[in-house]
Amino acid sequence: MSKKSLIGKRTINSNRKKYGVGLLGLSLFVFVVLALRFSYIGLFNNVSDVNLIKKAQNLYTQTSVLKSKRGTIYDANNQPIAEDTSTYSMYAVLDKNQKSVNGKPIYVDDKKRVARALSKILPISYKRALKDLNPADKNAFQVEFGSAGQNISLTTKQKIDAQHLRGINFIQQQSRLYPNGIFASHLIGIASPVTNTKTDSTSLVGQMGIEKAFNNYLTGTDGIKKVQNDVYGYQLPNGVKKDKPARDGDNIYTTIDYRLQTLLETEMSNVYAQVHPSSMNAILMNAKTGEILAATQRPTFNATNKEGIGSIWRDTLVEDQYEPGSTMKVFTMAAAINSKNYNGNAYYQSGKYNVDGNVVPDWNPNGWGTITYNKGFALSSNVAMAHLEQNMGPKTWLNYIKRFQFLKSTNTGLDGEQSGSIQFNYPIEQANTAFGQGIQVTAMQVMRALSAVSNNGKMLQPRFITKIVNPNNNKVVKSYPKKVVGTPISADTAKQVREHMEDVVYKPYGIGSDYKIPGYRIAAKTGTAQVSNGSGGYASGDDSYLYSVAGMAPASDPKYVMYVTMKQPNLNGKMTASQYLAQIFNPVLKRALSEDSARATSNSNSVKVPNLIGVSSSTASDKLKAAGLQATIVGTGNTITKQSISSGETVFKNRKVILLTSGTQRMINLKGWSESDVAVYCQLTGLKLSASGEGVAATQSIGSGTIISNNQTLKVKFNKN
Amino acid sequence: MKLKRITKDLDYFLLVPYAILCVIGIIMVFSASSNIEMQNGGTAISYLIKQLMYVVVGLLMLAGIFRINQKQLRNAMFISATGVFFIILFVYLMVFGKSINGSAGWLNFGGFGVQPAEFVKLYFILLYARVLSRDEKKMEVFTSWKSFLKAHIKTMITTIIILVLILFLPDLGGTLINFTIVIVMILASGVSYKRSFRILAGSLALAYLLLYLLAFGPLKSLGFLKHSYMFQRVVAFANPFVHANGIGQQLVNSYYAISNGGIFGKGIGNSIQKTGYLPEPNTDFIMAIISEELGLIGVLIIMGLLCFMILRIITIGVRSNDGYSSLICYGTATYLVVQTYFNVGGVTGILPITGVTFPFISYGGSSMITLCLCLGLVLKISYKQKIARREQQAVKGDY
Repeated sequence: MSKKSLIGKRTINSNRKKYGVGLLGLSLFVFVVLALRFSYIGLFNNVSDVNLIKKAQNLYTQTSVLKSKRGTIYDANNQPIAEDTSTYSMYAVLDKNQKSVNGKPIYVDDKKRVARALSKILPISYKRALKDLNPADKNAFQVEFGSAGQNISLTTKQKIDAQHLRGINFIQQQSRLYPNGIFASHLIGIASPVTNTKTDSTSLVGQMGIEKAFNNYLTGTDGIKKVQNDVYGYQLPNGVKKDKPARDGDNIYTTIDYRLQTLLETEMSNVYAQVHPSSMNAILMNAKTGEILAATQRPTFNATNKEGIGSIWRDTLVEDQYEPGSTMKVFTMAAAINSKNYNGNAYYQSGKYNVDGNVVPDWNPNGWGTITYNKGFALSSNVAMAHLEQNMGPKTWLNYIKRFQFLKSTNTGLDGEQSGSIQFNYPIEQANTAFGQGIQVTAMQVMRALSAVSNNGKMLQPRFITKIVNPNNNKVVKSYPKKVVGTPISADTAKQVREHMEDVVYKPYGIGSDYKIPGYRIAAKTGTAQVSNGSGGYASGDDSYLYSVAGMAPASDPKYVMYVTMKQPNLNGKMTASQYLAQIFNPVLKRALSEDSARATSNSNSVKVPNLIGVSSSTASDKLKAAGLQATIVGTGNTITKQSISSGETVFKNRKVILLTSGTQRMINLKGWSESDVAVYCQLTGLKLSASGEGVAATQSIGSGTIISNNQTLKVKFNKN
Repeated sequence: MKLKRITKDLDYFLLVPYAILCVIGIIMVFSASSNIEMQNGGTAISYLIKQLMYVVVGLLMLAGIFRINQKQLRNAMFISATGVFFIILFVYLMVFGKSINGSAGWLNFGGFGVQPAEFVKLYFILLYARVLSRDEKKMEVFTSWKSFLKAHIKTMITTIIILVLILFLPDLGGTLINFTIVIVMILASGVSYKRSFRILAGSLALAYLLLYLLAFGPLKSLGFLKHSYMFQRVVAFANPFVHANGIGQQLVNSYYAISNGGIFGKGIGNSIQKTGYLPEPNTDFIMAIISEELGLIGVLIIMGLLCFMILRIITIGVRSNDGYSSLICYGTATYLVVQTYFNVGGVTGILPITGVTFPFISYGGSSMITLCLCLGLVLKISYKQKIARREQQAVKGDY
């Protein structure tokens, strides 16, 4: 039995030796296993499908993104219309464990002091701030201050910083600044922060207008800074370093003239507020170059505070197609004259005309008897145009429509540009197009076609961008020079058409007398088109029309072309649609013409405006006096923050230059000021101008010396003296 | 014993690898500690000096235990007293112990932390060598496991008490190493080797099955275990990358270190992982740092040297006809193998991390001294064997 014990057949000693040999094998096995495992990791750098090299590199590498700047959009005078800025949002750390390396608290330890300081700088009451600093959750790590603590500007942040408030911190945010409020808002567009879910980084992306269409140019390339650090943030001695600098986005230089644009916006808003049309377009273009100097649409929005941004997202100037109505007659005339099918002194029976069993009516169905074609144009007779179309024949007319490049996109680069359409199958449809019905066009197409008339036959590409510049090397990435896109008519035809357009304004029977501008010769054509209801018929009712005016001046050799449309206004009987359009057309065109003549005057009588920004007000005053200019200083501060005419511009001697200083603004006496000077004053001080009368300022609704605030309305009556 | 005679019969197959490992250890502790001031305090130089000191003290201990009459170590009173001493010590530690790295198993002597659980390994080796070698004369002990247990009931109870105390310090690694030493030694008592192997293989399989079930199988959701620190280590072992910023941090960063090193390493002093990414770079994870700086080649050389020592120790045990000596050798070898296995297993992710040091290389005095004492015992056995063999040959030569 003892042999069958635990020991077995062998002796204790032999068992132990054999056991030892086994132990030897087992130990060897253990070491081989460990060595293999070590080798596997060391050789393949991979454990359970995790790439160890990559993971480790990620662990060491501190990648910080160097934010690139989005390109700036400038106006014609290189003033920013849209630019990048940083805003800050503020938070306060409350957790009492937050202490700096040397043990000082970095949390809010004096809540009352912080609340008091914040209430003085931010739009937040002391009570409210104190309440925010004492949240219901006693263990809250940090708190924010509602809207008061958001979108804080750099200057405000610096003011808060100067208070040395412990526990108050800021997060920087990239945002886009549009300083001018309502200012070609849809054309310029907006860019807003979009977070890329992949990289979790936020950048500005254009959503509308130039911001969207030229987003690729405007967007910069973020840089990367890669440093390999140890766990404490010290750079590893042989760590990989990789730097890629941020490349800022390209700057876009537009053709928008700040003063003309602002004036246009003011007048448009004015009219829009009176008659609430469903939409309005207005474009002012340089007749010789195709540069769009001012352009806007209604409804629009305030780009600074995004007020009204929801109403419409289209650039109606290029995206909305409509039947232009009688402004089209300019091109019918041009086509007839150019194709030698026009005899202005020939007579025709006005009132009604039968085309293939369909009646073409004049706007006055009784007509004006038998009149000449010249008079028919000035009276905006549809019948005259139907005859002209028939004289030319549909083939020739359609050919001219194509030569004026209707039905073809203006290719300005904006999103969703439309090319228009036409109904041209039957004689009545063909006749209708001659007075602007049954053809859909965009406002920009009308501008392009008008340029052929204004520029002696050479049709120009409308453009609102002159160049795109890479700010990193100041190289011009893309430039948009003056471009002739066709010659639909001869110079002589153009001249004749302009003369007929003058008749519209100046002949006693002409229906465009509202567009007279004293001192300048205007050529214009009005339009009243029935608005299609979208299902083949036309909308009915008093205000179912699209009113428009297309004009150019000076008529003999136009420098400016202007086109204004107003769709479905609620006319109240006080004034005609034409008079409302004139409220926009006349002052803007007049300002453009007057500034132009100021520029054109001889050098001896003109001076260059010096740079006065940042200069003390007394020095600025002296400088202007030395240059032979009048200085009007507005505000109580000591340094100039804005000047009404940019430095480097050439102006008449004795011209008034308004200088804005910081500090409280008090109303000044405007008596004797010109309309444009008053408008500029209001722009600078942020007042809303409500002007009446013509001439120089006689009375003002805010007494001089009164403290004024932004957006206050100033009523000024002008008198001819 | 003349010194000249001693040097002649010393086992250089043990001494040379031991010396090389200690030197590598000193260098690598210094290198691995270069950034440790940030983590644990103390400069790299202070770690270098301390490790140097531990090596010197270890060497002195080795020489000391070599020189003394080892009969004293077999003294029943001495062994029992040591056992009682350890029990009291651990109870004291559990109540008043200073906690380092979540374990209370440290005594503090003037700035030096002493880990008594390390010395317990030597105690168990001595205890079981003594107890089991005595059995050779009492065959009735081997009648059945029941009789075997009955004969060693006192020893077993002492063992269990001490193991449980260590486990609750808590020091899981220490408990498992001691437990394995005890089991391997019991199976070396002279029972049928086939039976021993079956039991050994069975226990290993069972242990691995349990680990597998805990890590990946149905046991992983055992509620009562979930929050224990031991179970957390199993979780980290099972899915280190999921917990890369928490409990899996050590293993994941150990992987990175090994991966960084590749075959030839980044060169001494060039570890990135020691700069704060990998905790305990100079103790538990020194092999990962060595792998990063010296590469796979460095690691394999170190493991090769240690493996050679272990095989040498077992061979000495196999050659010995004296049960006590054999058991000492087997115990010491098991100690080294298990310690290495637990350390490298943890570092390379084939075992949960148990917080065990690498023999002769890792920074630490208690471990170094215990290892040196064990090695001293084996050296003495080897020395005696050599003398005996020479005497035998001399006798043969007389023929």
